[in-house]
Amino acid sequence: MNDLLAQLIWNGLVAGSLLALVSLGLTLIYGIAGFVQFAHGELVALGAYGMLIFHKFLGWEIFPAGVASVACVIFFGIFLEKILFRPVRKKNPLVPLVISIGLSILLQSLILIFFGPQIQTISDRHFESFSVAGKFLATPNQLCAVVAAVILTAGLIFFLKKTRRGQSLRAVSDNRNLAQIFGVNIDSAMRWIFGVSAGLAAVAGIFLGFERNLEPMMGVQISITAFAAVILGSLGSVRGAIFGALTIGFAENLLVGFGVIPSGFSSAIPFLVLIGILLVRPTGFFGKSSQFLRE
Amino acid sequence: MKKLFFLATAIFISGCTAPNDEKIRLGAILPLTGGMAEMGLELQKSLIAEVEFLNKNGGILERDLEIIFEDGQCNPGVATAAAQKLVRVEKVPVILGGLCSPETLGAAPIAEKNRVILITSVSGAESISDAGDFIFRNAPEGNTNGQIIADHASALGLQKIALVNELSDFPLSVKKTFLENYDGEIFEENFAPGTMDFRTVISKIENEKPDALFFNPQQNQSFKVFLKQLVEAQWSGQLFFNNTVVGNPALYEEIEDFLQKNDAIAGSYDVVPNPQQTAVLERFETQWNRPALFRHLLANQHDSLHLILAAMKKTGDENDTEGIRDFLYGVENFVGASGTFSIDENGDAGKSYSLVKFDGTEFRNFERKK
Repeated sequence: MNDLLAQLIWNGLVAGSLLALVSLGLTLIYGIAGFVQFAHGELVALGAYGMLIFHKFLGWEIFPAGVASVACVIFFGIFLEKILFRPVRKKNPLVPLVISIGLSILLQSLILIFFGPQIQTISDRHFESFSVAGKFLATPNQLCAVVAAVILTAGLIFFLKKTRRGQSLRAVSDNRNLAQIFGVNIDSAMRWIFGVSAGLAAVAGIFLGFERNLEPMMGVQISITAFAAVILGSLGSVRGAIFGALTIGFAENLLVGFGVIPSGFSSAIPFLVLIGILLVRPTGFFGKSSQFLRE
Repeated sequence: MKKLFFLATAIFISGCTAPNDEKIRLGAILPLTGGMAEMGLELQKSLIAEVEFLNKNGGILERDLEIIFEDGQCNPGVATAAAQKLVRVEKVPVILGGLCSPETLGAAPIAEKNRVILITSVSGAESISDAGDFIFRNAPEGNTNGQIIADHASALGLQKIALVNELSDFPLSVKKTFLENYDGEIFEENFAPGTMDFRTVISKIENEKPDALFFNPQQNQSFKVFLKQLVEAQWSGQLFFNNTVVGNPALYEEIEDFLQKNDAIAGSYDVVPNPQQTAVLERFETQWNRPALFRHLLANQHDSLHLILAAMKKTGDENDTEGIRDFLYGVENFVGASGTFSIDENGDAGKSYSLVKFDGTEFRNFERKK
């Protein structure tokens, strides 16, 4: 006999963990490059479709297929930075923002052309789930998603705080000109940040693909929710992005699960939570100043 | 130079605003992108195959036929813009479509105001019957879909059913009659179009322990993810669906056993195979080198096109939309690929649904227990 509360908490944790991976990428790019990357959701979709190609179409095992998909999206993220965003780095932030909107539409259309409008499934196995302590049901994919989110988030925080490269990225987010004077290579910093955020998006996309199947617009919904999570936690804050994502994940599941909000309005929940928190803390939950990549 | 400029402009404008050939041009609004694109593209392919066949065989009124397709995206706003383009720019006398009820209802006011015939072969929303004099429906009303499932569920003695509706015109029409006709207890949940995560809804349903579950979507993209998550939630019990999930074997991949084990039943168009229907499907297969999906919808759409062509032959003028309208209201016992039907005073073909059951590969007619 499964417990409804335990099941909803688990569902919330899974949804929040996947959202956190997407939100972290968004907040990193905003924190360092200084604009909102609207095509981030499409990188999530590319991660999922990459997995479809390597695992389902080419028949690779899950792990190497996942690694190959993430690697491709990382290189693609770095490529986008070099080709599209580097030339306009010194321009008004609206310019890269508009480019990213165009890129988002282009990538959606390319996915539609190459893979068609139909739903695709990555899984070639029967859908499995197991009971955890008789309290709730979990799937192997969900378990892996939560563990991967925890490891990647911890790794990212360690990277930003404890490594020389991470510290240089934080310096760039703090004051790009000063960091450059002190010898930080801005091009390299941007490459790193676009690569890391693309990699996080791809990992989220793979797990989302297993969890909810694939369709060309799959990146749109998750990225809109991730925007809400990032703003909720405060733009540019790593801790804020994680907090925002988990808050939205739990809120969506618990508020709908216990009938506080009708299930038909669940997509409005991130924004209701966002409005509620911004009314109390206009700079977001962890917002104190405009300093980026805070803990 | 100035004269040349005006001449070029005049040629450009005339090229944009009026057909430059003698083809008879019809419009079609279908979801060519978005969640219902798979169905929309299939209907588009079928129309292309049919037009090619007709043109090879002499066309209509001794002229070739052409269909101008617009993407309605299953969205009323987009369909309104598509109808405006077809009516004002392309100046078509007839629009085939839309596919989803929101598309049809979005395009209907434009068609009605401009006295252009709009005939849908799929949309089931109740309100289409009252959408106007120039609006026709060659498909069953969605509410009868809800009724036959409610009657069957009551006949099976199911005490409690979980009803999961997409918040859109067609599923809400189905829901309305289901609620009116089902005798037992109902646990109702709804979801917004585009929803791709149903775990919370499924957890709530499991907690209520219903005897059966009726999944009532508008867009069949939600079917696959809902079913996947339902399997993972270890659901066991009778399953019901509306007709949007019928006719596409790709939807059932990997869940065939689950559907069969849980006696999956759907309401579907009451289309009996006949020689005309076979010919339509053969033409599709010849043109596209594969069997058609959504065969029941293709038969309806074929009949809509041929109703319009019959009306044009009768009036002798493709732009006499009032004549076409009057012809359509007078249709009685029209024999088509979808069967024999008449059109009533609301512009409805008065078609019906029948129950189909999943047999391991596809939903098919079945013998009901008395």
